[in-house]
This record gives sequence, structure tokens and C-alpha cells, in this order.
Amino acid sequence: MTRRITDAAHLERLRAELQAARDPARKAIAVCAGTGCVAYGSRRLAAAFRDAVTARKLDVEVRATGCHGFCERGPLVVVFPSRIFYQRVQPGDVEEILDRTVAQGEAIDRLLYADPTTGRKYVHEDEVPFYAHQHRLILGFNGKIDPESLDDYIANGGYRALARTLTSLLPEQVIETVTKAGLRGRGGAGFPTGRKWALCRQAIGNPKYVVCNADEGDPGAFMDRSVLEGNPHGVIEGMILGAYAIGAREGYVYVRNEYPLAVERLSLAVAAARARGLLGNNILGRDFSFDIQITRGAGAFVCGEETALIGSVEGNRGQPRFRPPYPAQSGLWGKPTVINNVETWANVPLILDRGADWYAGIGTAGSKGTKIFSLVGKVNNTGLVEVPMGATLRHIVFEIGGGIRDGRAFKAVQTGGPSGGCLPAEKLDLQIDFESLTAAGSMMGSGGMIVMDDRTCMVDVARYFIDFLLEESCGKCVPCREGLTQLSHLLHAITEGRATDATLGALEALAPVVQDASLCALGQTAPNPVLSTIQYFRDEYLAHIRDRRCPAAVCKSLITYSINDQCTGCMVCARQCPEHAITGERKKLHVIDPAKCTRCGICHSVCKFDAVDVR
Amino acid sequence: MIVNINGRDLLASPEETLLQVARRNGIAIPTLCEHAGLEPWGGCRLCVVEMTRGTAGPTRIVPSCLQPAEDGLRVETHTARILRIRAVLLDLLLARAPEARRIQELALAHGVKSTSFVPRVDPDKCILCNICVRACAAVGADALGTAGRGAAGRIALPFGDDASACVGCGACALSCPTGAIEMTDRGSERRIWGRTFQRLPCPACGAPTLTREHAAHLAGRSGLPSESFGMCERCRREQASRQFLDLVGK
Repeated sequence: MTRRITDAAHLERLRAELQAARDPARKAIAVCAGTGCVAYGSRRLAAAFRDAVTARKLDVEVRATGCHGFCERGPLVVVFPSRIFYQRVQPGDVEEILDRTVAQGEAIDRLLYADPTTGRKYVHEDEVPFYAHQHRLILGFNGKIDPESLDDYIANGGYRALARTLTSLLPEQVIETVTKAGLRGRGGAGFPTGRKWALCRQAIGNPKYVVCNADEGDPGAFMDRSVLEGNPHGVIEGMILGAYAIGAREGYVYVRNEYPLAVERLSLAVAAARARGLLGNNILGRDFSFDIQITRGAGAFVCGEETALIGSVEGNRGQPRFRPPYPAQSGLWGKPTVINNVETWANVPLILDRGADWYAGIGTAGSKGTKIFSLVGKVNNTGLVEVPMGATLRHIVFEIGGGIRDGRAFKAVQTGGPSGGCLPAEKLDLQIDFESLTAAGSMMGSGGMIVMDDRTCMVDVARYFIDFLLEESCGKCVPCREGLTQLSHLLHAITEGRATDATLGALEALAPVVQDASLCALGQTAPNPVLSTIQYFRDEYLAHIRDRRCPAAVCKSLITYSINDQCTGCMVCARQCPEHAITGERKKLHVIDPAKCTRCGICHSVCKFDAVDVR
Repeated sequence: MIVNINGRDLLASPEETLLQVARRNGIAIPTLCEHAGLEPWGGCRLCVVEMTRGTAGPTRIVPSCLQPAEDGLRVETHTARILRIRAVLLDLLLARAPEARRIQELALAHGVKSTSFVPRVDPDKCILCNICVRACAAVGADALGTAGRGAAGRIALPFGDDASACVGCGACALSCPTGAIEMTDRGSERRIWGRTFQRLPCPACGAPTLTREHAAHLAGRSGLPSESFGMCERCRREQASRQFLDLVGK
């Protein structure tokens, strides 16, 4: 039954009722329903649990939760009250889990997480090194609550910050608290949130708007999606608090259409909050009204840039414009507008619930709180990682990420998305915050973290990201549109073996102009992957240019495949070669015809005897 | 307020941009996407300048066409760094539009004789400065837009070939800095954007003037009869001077 929550006292009564109705000893099975686990089949798994529980007439709650972050090991299941944690669970495991774990509290060895390097097994989620080294302020809600249940959010302390704020703080005091907490924007630039809000509150213009930027477009980054899917009310509560602080009545969430589950859960959450009077007129019986609309993005990366986003919401072409005026002065429809990203909004209720001092106690001098990173690439444990600001790259890559896959060597980590820089091993002890990453030639960005091993060619990485950014450039300004076109030509010349020393000089001359002269952050940061790889991996560029050699054996124009004397003549490679470039008789050494070979690498991957060399 | 440009303290008002202040004081800054009749766009970046707030602030590079004047700003318009940026931008534009006269001239003035970059496979005089699109919008026809994104973008009619909103006023072709838009007037016939328009004769001298569609468009926007717009420039001036002389009694 959905009844309007009339005031703060009513909300607290409801919370007490909800909490009293929950038996902490109640048996429950939490199945992760984040996009990663859904892709692994967690919906079928949850249905299998529900069917089995019904068939056996058990008093066990089967709960779908938000993303736990350890997507690589999905589908993930936690059994309550024992909190036993299972990974890669299949519908075939359901009966055994009910028999042994739910009924008897026994852990099933085969479903436990085993550390890939030590082989040690872990029974509980919080003991698994991937989680044990994290500080999950924001993501902590994800595994705990059902994102489609407002009651669940309320029972876990949801909307308490809102109730307290509306009854005891003036808007100026909210801004003061956020300022004192030291919260900075999580979308990339790290602008102090409190200052942005103060500017908007003081700006002349009516109405004012708040906007949530959920146009997360960095390849490999999915923290905002996970927060929206796992705890949509956290973002909504943050936006209501922001609206109260700046004096807005309307808010927009700009979310990419490629995130259907996030759109669905957010829509459900907005509707639920509206039905209970947490959005709409006279929220919690106060003289304060605010509502949220959802706008879906049409797929342009550049629309994550705030002025392009505003254009897109207004129905115009998504193109950035010069600032000033800043959106806080003149934003949506020319009115003062606060734009913050998903993760920033999700931090706001925590700050107002637990206080500025508590929040400011986490992190470094200039960067407070935690940051969610999306750790992907060649690490053992990929997924979402939340750590206090100031954690080192080494801590994230090796302790949480479990080191490099297949025992290979670490080569670089790219932070901050496609226009972030690639940092080498000597930067592993860098304490991550907004300033330190920029000083090292990279950036915080929205928190992408792509780990590369020794089989990665850094020139090819730079080429890949420049091509991505060229594709996504809006084309409004010359340095970004034409400059990236030429950076791409130059990088292709290097990876394709057509370069000279002058090519490298041209790259180094053009890149700073693109940085200096581009209109928005896309172009201004686009040369980072080029400049940082030249700075830290210059030898690799020179090997491509002077020796026509790709040291990581990646660039197709510069490598050759050959068969060594490990060959047993099994004929597998010859049969698999799509170009029929491999000849040889059974049990005799095979030979690759370099003229026919297209360097697809199939022979290398099918050979069981390490007999195919790539050089 | 006072803005210091190239060492000179210049009087400025907060409504002015740095480009306006500079030009008013005879300081030349090159531009391509700027047009006196249109809002600044900030796309060509040729007008970038170095700007410092106060005495100790960091030096920033900003487009002077968009940066509002502020009291105490220190601006440099022709430092080595700025000249280098302009030269690279013109080098890039020359790779895109090698045939465009204005680009050639500006490039030469910045020491770029030919492009050092890879020339575009299908060279184009268009540099995507958007003046035509903005001019068309200012006229009120909104017949043009940018299709595609980034380097693949191009100025186009809706769906590539729908010129029905075009009134044949020629604002796009006349304001294009690189002559990328073809418009031919032959007798009373005007061809532009693949469409042929008839130009109305001037009621006084009979010379072809604006197109029938343009006159109707202006009439629709102003509420005046379309005949009000038919007179050619020369005859309109003559008429005005006659009216003036009548008025002063000569």
C-alpha cells in the first residue's frame, strides 16, 4: 500500500515499523541483479530460487539487489543470515544451496571465491580481498537493498537526511555543510560542489534547475550505471537536497538510453517517491516542492560535457559552448542550473546524514570522501572498486584487483577514461586524488581504470583512444575536429610502419595546440593518451619508427608469425588458418607463408605447443 | 573598467568581448567563424588570446570573441604561443580546405605556405564555421543544419536534399568566408541549394531583386505587404533621398 508520507515524524514511524518487521535472523537469498550478473543469467537464477522456495514451501526471502561490483564473478549470491558468499552460481546449484547453506548454514566449497594467486578460499563477502580493501560508502547500499523497493531504502536509513535537513537546516546551511565536507564533483573536473551550489543560489534567475548527469560514456566505465541501478533513491535524495539548497523546483536526470535497466529502475524509483510524497508538492509537509523528469540521451559521448548536455535536454544539437556563463549562472533554458554527476549526488545524503566532519575525515587534504573506480583490463579481479581518495594505484591494482592476469607483468594503467593518461609502473605508488593524477599527466575523469599488461602496445593504445575521441568529437571547433584527424593520421603512420622521426615531432608539436585551443574538455584532454605514452614509453615509439618493430607484438603491419621447432606437426594451425597460409605434413614442421599471412593470430591461439612465434 | 591589452590600458564595458575591445582600439585579431551580424560561435579558435586575471593568476588561453571584458584583465594577442596556435590551426584548415582563398591568405600571413599535414581526400572549401547555418537561422528560414558529427560533419539541407524551407535569400552564400556555397544569378533566375528561384523585378527600374519566396517570408515575419520589400537597393536609396528632399522643402 502506498500512502503519502505526511511529515518527518511519519517517515520515522514508518522506518521504525519497517525495521521492526524485519527479522535479522530471517533466512534470505540475495541475488545480484546488476547488468553484469543479469548478463550472466542472474534473472533465471533468481527465478529458480523463487520456484524452489515456493515448491518447498520455505520461509525464505529471495531478494534481487543492485550491483555488488565484482561483476567478473557473477552471478553473485549472498545467503543470509550466515552471509555466505557464492560466485558464478548457476540454476543447477539452487537445490544444493537450499539444502546445505540455507537449511544447515554450511558453505559449499565449490561455489566459494578462491583467490587466483594464493588459491585461498573465502566464505564471507567482506573477507574476499576484492571487498576487504574497499571502503564502500556509496556501493555498500547496492548489495544490501532491493533497488525497486522504496521501503527497503527507508528501512536502511533512506530519506533520513532529507527529513532532518528540511526540518532543521536552512538552504544556506546545507550549502555550508557540503562545502565544509569538501565534496568535489565526481564527473571529472573536481569542482567544489558547495561552491557550485552557492554560485547558483546567489545567481539571479527563476526558476532554477538541478540536473543529474548520468551520461556515462567512457569505455569500460560503469560506476554511475551501477549506482543508478543499485540505489536510485540515493541519487534522488541527493537531488532533492540539492534542489532545496539552491531553490529549485524542477530537476532532470540525463541518462543514456544505452542503460535500459538504469532508466527502468530510476523511473520506478521516481514514481515511488512521487506516490509517497517525497517528490512533488509540499515534500514531507513542508513549504518545499520539487519533482524530477528523466531525459534519455541519444548516444553522443560529448553530451556528458555539461553545456552540450544542456543543449541536448533543450532539444538542440549536443554541442558544447564557451563558459562563462557557467551553468550555475545561465544553464538550462538560460536559467541558473546545478549539474552534478550521479556519484556526486549519491554522496550528498551521506554528508547530510553523518555530517561534514565525518566526511571530511575521509580522503586527502584536497580531495575528500571515497571514489568509485571501474577497474577493468588485465587484472584478476575486474569490477567496481570504491576506495578513499588518496589510495595508491598499487593498492587498487594489486590488493583489490589481485594483480595481473595469467601472471603477466604490469605495464600501465590508464585512469580517467579515453582522454586519461597511461601511467607506468613507477607511478604505482601515486596517491590518487584530483591533483596528483593531473600532475602525472593523467586525470581523475569519472573514474575509469584500465590495466594493461606487457602484451599491450602503448602506441596502439594511444591510436585506439584518439580514434575513439575523433569519432566522438562534435566537430564544432577546429583544433579538436581537424587536430584529432591529424593526430590519428600520425599514429596510424607509426603503427603501420610508415613513420619517421619527424612523425613523432609532429605529434609532439600538434598535441599541445589541441590541448590549448580546443573549446571543451573533450578536445582539451584528448591528447593525454598520446602525450603520456610518449612521456613514459618513448622507447616503444622509437622501436616502431626506427626499427619497424612492435615490441608488444600487437601492430599487425610490424609483426610476423613463424613456426619454431616446438611444432609437432599436429596440423591444427594449418586447418584453422583462414588464408591457407600454413603448409606442412603430419608430424613434420609446418611453415607460414608471410605473403599470404594476414596476421590474424589464430595459429598462435590454437597452438598447444607454443610453436608459433610472433615478432 | 580597464582591460590591459598588449600593454595598453583600454577602457571597456562589461557587455563587450575582448575581441570588440581590441578591434575598437585598432588591434587586429584574425577570425573566421565570427560575423558582425551574428552571435559569437567560438569554433575556429583563431581569435584565441592569452589572458591573466589580476597580477598573479594563471595564464589562460581563451577565445577573444566570447570572453567578456573584466576589470583588471591582462591580455596578450600576439605572443609566440598564440601565433604558434594560429599557425597550426591554419595549417590544419589548409589540409581540409586547400582551395579556400581566405584560408590560403591567412595561412600565408602566419608563415604557412602549404599544409604540413595529410590533406583531406575529398577537399572541401567548407570549414564548418557554421556562419551559413547561423545566418539562415537569423533570417528565420532555418533551412540549413549540420549533418553528421565531428570530422564527418557537413552543412546540409534537412534529409540532405529538402530545400523547401530555403527562401533563396542568399545570406548563406554571401556570408560564407571561404566561398563554399554556390549561388548563381542569371537574369531573374537564382540557383542555390539545388533549387531555382525567380527574382522579382524592382517596381521602379525593373532590375531583379529579392526572390519571390524571400519577399513572402519577410512579409510573413513583418506583417507588411510583400510589395514593401520589392525595390532594389539603388532605387530604394533614390526614393529615400527624394522623400528627404521633399521633407526639407527643396
